[in-house]
Amino acid sequence: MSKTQLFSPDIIEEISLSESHNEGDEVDKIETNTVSIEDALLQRLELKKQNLQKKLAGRRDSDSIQIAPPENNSESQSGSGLHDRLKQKLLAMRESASESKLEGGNVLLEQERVQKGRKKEDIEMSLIRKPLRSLPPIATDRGSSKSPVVSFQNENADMHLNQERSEGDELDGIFSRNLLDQNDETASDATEIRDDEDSIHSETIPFISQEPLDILVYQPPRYRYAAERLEQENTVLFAKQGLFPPENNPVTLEQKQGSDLELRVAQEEGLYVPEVMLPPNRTLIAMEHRIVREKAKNWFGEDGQLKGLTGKFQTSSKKGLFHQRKELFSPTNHLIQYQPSAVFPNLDRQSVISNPNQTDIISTNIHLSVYISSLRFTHHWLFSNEHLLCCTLYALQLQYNRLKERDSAEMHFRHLQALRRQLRSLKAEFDKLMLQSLTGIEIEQKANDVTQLKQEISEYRQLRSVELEKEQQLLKRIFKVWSQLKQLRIEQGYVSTAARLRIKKTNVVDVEEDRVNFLTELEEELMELKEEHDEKLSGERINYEVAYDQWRRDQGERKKLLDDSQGSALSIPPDTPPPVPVSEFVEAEVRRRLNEEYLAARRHPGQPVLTPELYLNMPISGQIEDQKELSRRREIEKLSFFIRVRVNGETACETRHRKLKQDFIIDFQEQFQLELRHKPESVILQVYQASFNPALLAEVPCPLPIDIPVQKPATNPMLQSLDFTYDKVMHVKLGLGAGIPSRGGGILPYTTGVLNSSAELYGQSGSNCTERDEWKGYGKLAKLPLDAEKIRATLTSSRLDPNDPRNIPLLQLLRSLPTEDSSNTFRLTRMDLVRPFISQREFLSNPNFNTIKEKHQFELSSARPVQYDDELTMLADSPVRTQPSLEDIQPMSDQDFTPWHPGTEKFYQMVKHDISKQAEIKTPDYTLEEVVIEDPVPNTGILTKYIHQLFSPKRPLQPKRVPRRTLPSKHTNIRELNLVLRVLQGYNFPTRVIEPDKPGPRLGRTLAGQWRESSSAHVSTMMSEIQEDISEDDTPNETNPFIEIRFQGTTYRTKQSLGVNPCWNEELIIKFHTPVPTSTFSADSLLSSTDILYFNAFDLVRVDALEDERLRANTIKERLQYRWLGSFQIPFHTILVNSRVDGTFKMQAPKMLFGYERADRLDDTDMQLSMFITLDPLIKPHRSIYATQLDKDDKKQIEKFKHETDSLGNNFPDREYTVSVCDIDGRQVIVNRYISPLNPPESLLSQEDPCNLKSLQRISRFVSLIPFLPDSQCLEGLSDVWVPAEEFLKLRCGDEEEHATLLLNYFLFLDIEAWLVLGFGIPEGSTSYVLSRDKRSRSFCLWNPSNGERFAPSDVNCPLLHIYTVLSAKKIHFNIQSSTKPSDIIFDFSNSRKWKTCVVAEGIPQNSLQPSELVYTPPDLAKASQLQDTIQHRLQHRIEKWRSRMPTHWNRYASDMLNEQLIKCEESYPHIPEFELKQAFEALFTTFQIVGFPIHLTPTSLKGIEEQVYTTGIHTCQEPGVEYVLACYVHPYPSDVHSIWIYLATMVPRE
Amino acid sequence: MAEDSLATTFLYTLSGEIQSGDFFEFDSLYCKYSFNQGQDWTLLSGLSEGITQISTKSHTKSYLSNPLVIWNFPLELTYSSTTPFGWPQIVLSVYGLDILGRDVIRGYGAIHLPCQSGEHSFSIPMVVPKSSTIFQEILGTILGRRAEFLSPAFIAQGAGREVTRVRSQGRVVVKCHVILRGFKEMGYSYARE
Repeated sequence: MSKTQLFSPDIIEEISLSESHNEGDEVDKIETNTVSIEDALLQRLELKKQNLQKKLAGRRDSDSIQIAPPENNSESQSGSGLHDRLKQKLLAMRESASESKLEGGNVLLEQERVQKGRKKEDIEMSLIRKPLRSLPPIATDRGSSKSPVVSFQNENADMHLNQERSEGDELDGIFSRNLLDQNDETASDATEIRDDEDSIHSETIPFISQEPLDILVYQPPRYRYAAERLEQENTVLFAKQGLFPPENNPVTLEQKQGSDLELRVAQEEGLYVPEVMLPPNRTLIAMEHRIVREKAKNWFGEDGQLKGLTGKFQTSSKKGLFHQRKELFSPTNHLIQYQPSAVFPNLDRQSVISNPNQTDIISTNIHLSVYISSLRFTHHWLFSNEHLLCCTLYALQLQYNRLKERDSAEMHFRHLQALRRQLRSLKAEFDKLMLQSLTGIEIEQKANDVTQLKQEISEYRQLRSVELEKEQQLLKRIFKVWSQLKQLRIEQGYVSTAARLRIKKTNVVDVEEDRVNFLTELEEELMELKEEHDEKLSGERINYEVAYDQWRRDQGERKKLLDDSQGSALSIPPDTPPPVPVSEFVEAEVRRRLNEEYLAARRHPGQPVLTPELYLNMPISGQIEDQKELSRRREIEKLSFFIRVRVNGETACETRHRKLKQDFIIDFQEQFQLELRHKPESVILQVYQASFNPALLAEVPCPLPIDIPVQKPATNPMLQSLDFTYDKVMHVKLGLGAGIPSRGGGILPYTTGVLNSSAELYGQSGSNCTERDEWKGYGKLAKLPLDAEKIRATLTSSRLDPNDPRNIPLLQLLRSLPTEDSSNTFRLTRMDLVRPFISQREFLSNPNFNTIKEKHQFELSSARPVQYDDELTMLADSPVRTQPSLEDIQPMSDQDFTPWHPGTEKFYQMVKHDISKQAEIKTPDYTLEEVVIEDPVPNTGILTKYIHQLFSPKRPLQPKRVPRRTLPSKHTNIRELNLVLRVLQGYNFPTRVIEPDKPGPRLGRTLAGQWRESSSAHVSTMMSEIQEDISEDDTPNETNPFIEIRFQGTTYRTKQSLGVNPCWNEELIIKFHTPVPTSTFSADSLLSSTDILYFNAFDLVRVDALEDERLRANTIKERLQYRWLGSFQIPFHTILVNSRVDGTFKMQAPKMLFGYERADRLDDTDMQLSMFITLDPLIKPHRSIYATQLDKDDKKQIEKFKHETDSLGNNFPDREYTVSVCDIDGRQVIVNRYISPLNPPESLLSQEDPCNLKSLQRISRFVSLIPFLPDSQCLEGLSDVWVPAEEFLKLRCGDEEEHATLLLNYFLFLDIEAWLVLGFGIPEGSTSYVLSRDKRSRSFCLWNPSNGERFAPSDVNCPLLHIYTVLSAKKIHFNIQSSTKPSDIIFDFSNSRKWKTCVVAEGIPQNSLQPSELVYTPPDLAKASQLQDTIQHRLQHRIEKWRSRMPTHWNRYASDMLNEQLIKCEESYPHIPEFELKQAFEALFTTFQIVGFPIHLTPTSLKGIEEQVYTTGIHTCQEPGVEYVLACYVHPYPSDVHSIWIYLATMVPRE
Repeated sequence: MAEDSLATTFLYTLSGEIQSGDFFEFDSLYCKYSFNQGQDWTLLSGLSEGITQISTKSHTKSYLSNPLVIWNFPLELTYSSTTPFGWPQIVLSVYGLDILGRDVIRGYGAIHLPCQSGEHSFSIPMVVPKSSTIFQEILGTILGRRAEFLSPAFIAQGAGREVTRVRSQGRVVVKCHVILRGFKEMGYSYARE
């Protein structure tokens, strides 16, 4: 309790208020403690209580003593005196306390009564109540010691208590000691104690009073005014304790220096004084006061300012090694901090545990604040003469102001004077030394100093006179321009600029003094000049004397020589003039000259000082009559400008557009705040003239501060004036223009201006450590290449003046330059600081990251699921490669024959890789229909359709096809994909021929009309039905064709039909299996499918197998034979890409089929099949990668033509106009670059006329023999790539367009008019054909390059359905006719209403992508025969394998015969020598029943050949004694192109 | 664990249940669920999609002010994957029967499966696409053909959202336990094992 009361009342109040609620607890705790303690302790406590009371009583007494008038505590009283007195008081206290005996409880009761009786303020109540609650003295003691305010006493109290327990009675002594200790500790404690003593007075009374109650006097707490208290503190305490009270008034100079000292300001003498680092003003004043008090005058410099260090930067780091390390490895130094996430079982999912540390990471941004104040044009093309003058005036005035501000003339003058003084003293010293006649280095040095000083003086003198002259001339020019301006204003009668010059005239106060000054200066200079001259003279006089002696000697010799050799004057030196003696110093003349100079360049003595002041307050005339001026002003108002801020080359923000005002000043006053990750490399302000197409006037780089403070500087940013120039010559009618010769001669300046702006950076920068601290101050210097030695050498050799403020940074740089031993300093660039996510090693070693990386690489380039095999590594390891070349490709293993180059796949992989690198992924935008199903809003279109349907006649036999809904390509979760195939009808099927010698139903008993019965697609069920239904009246020679479809190894079959033009109209559902079982039906996996749909037409022949005629009455035994009629294939890919294939397709039927003949013998009618294929669900996957990079040569062309086609596309949205295609580098090139004449193989051309039809057909056949491989299959859906002919021939595979361009180029070589036709055909979809015109008949002809067939445009069976674009080498024709069908099109390309023609620029044909000449390898006979053998053996083997259940006999004789026939077939292609073939077999026909056909194979792999043979079903023949005939012929063509013929036949022996 | 050091996949096992649905105004609901995951994730076991029973609310008013539709449909599946890319999502679509007994969409919702082991419970907010016009909405209500997403998985993907307008409608509570295995060996850290 006693401790508590040692504090001032307000502290007690604080404690009591804050602890009132938990005090009870404390008390309880202590009480329980006390209960558990033994009686002895209780006694001690009792004792202590008493002692405390004693103490308090004593204190009361001491108060009475202590309360003395403040004047008693005079300043002279020392600290120790106070202590003595306190001790005395305490002793007195003890005596009085021993007398007092009173129990605390009584006191309190009495006190309560007192309180009830008297009305007191609340605060006091609480104050007094406090002891009541905390009656047990120890409890209060401890309770109060809890408070942080009394923390230091807490220890004391504890110690105190311990001592109490041990020593008991000695408490008083301890207390006093304690108190004294406190007194010693700090002076402030002393004051507190004193304060307490004042306030305790009223409180302690209840405890200690033994007198009657009415003596108690309550006083309100004494309030002392602040001023009073301060004064007391100042006078009593601060002075006493040797402290200095803070003062706000600055220390006057008198206080600092005393009155006796003279001030010397070095700056005024022209000396450079570096800026002193001084503390903030308040601290400075406090420091100065203290210094003044302490009378330590040496702290002040000569100028009365506090001395201080001048260096801004530390030269060495003060951080220790340990410190640095700690910083380096502290977790905050890492940019990414890993915080493991955690699940807390008791918490909700929603309550996210936020990590406070994460905020640190975010705040590493830098804020860039750009403030754009105003823009002022110093020249503008709309300036009038007046503006020009005004601007000149302004510039001059500015110059003048700057000059005045710097006042270098004055500075030089002072400097000069100081130097002169120095010189004088130096001279005096020198003289003294001379007098002492000391010789040696000292004198020499002094003499040196003197000369150097003199030199300096003369330099400064000259500088001063130059400055003065400059000033004077500037003044003159200002006045001149101003008078011109005034004149102009009067002449034109109006004012259009606000400039007004006021000339302030300041009269010289003392004319005489001025004159004296002038003269003194003149005289001084004169003196110095004279001295200089004298020195020079003394030096040169000696020279002169030497020279003169020499001359005289020369003269003498010359005379002698002249005398000696009278006639021959060869060796006589010429007569030299005598050396000129040094002129004497003519004082009068020099004075005159100086006087003239002075008067010309300086203000005349006594004349008033003229100071021009420019104001911009001239009112601009509003009403003027000059029309030109008016329109000029209007023109100005039309202009507006804005500023764009670009940070690191990116447009960050721009100001609003502001109109130009008449004064050519634009106020922007806009501020932009930007947040950046790094310190910006550049901030550029671009001045734009606002218009529809804003014109960039100028780019001004905005200087940035080097230091980045963490906080935004509170002060307003310093505006920087940035000059800019718009260097464009402007001829303007209304204004003067810019950059053009002016009327008065000379050239007007370009448009210039000043941009007032500021840019500042602040915020925490994560890259502070990149720039070393000491480098920060030097701006651009820090960015210099760090050749420290060079810089050092340069700086040292240039002997910089350390007194010039401009050199300070350089000198500091010199000092801070790394010394030689530390020259290999490692510096980081800022960008390197971006920490990688993980280390490279970890990235490479971790399988996850590898997977991700590979996935990323393959995302574009591959459609297949990622497989980690050689394919991948091939791409991963491939070095940077510009163009895929065939040389890079190593041929793969030669196990399987492929018609194309073994490296084809790799080539395409490379192409794909290249394209995907350059391509742009375009994600097609979704439409609502692709996402949401909902009933469409019935609009009039739909309604009319419904109504129309309602009233239209019902024709169930001619149902209309309802278009299927296309699923968007993004849908990848298709569960099942089916091919829906409707086989409609066949045309021109062959008729079965019944051999004349074996008529009747014995053989070839067919089931006519069978097709009417429905039968399932399964063979077995069909068989059973067939068995059931045999009619006798079937027509024996009618074919029973059916279509078998083979897809992915599964066979589907239609019912049989009947006749030459069979009709099926049957729908088949074919299930599609993805190549990889797990993968989904994604667009990628579908596009990579290489499956082919094989369509085969078969004739179903029943052969009577009943051997015993007797059983015929009740037995039927028949055998079914499937005889192949023709085939036809569509890649699945085509269906997928075109989403439906619909039309009549030509079947590849053997031209000659044993046992069959054509009903119609016309050549051009082929076996045809019409059908319709689509997908269910209908998905249209399209890879959304396009080569977007345009070739730089074609860029303009392509863009121009694209523009054309876009406009055409509006009229014909369905037509695909092609302008550019993707080349193997993945660039878009114009198509015409592929068209240029190329030489066909020599061997194909006819000798007599290379242009005849036969020759052309041969060429087209050659082209068609080059294997076919759709790009979309090799490139998996990437855009079509056009391969140049050379690569095409090398690879030996390509798409329609490669075939077409090659054929076209051959035609062009043969000088045939030909075009490339791009359009739509069946079955392939978008395709290319060649159009040619016969020279004689002028008729057009279409060539299908993929099979070499020829069609007239009018041919109905032409598989080319639509023509969109026709190209020649120099022109592109877009079809704008109403029809796109070849039969309807008029091929008159000159007709602009039919064709839109674009002419390609001249350079394109030269820029052809095709080679100039093709080189062919000659036909390789050996290889062909080898291939022939391979195929033959393979097929034989296969057929035997397919017929594994029965023996296969080969008829060698027939084979050889057929082989010969095949050679003939090849020779006579496309016509088959049917007759000859028949003749050859004539002999065999008698003994064998032969069914067979030659197949000319489309070039595929060996597997493909097998597949094609398999589909003919020839191996299914089960006749007893059947013999097989297989003949194979491979005809070689140049460049490894082969024509493959296979003849297959079965020979069944007749009985 | 020695054999796991060469592991090339990690395993993710989830077992739990679709507990209940809270659709204020609708009753007689069933929920279809499916999982949507990236290419690298393979379902080792469990049903990747399913359909719950039609569940009806309790009509005892006093029990709860807003009774829930309880399904308690168990989910159990195990995934293996090499990369967390394409982390599986559960896709829910709740259908209900309208007055005429037609199936009407009541909500779509999707959420990524929890990536920490332990017990998790989350309520998935459900949305339905809005008809593009009021007329279509009325028409849809009458005909029982409300606007639906073409594929429920649409709600689990980010592309194409900009063309749709949806309305929130109810929520479904899913509770599950997750067991992870082999993550650490693959270089992924997670809080608890």
